[in-house]
Amino acid sequence: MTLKVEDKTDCPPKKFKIKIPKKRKKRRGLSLLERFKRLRRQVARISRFLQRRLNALAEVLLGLQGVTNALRNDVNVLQAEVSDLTEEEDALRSQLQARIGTIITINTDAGTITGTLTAVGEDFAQILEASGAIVLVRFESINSFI
Amino acid sequence: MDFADILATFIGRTVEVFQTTQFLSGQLVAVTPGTFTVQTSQNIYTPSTVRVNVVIENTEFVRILPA
Repeated sequence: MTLKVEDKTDCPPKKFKIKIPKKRKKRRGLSLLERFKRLRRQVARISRFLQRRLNALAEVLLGLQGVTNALRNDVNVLQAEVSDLTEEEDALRSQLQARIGTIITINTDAGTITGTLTAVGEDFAQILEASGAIVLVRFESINSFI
Repeated sequence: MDFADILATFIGRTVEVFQTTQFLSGQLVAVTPGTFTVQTSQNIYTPSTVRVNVVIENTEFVRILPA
């Protein structure tokens, strides 16, 4: 009886791949001081930018204030002129308003009107005659009134 | 409220318009800021009705007759 020995030494040796992990480079993080300095530079840059914007806006505001003051002066001058122009009419209006509800006689170039003064407007007076007719008289037409 | 505004409230009414050199009588038809229009009524002086545009500045006074 012979033993058969199978020679398995003909099998090529298996190749094993041995994975060697690569050495990773250590990432150098910023130190606390360097981070602080970087932040400080950024803050300074932003501050300078904002200051420039602020200065530009202040100049524009100054210009606008000058324009506003000039316009305000013009308005005051115009208001004074208007007051001068309407002074007489205003005085007549005040006098007639004090007579509302009373009997009044108004003399014009076209005739005389007598009745109860019922209303006074910007430039007219309204009179109710005894007949029930309403008369509208313009201030400019009034020569005199009693 | 000015003269034109108050006059406009009487559109359609019979009115008498007094000017220094003229007298008109008729129906108030329209009012604009500087003028108003009267449709004159027929009478012995005006045989036919006429639409007269009256300048407010030249009007002495206007009488609105009772309705």
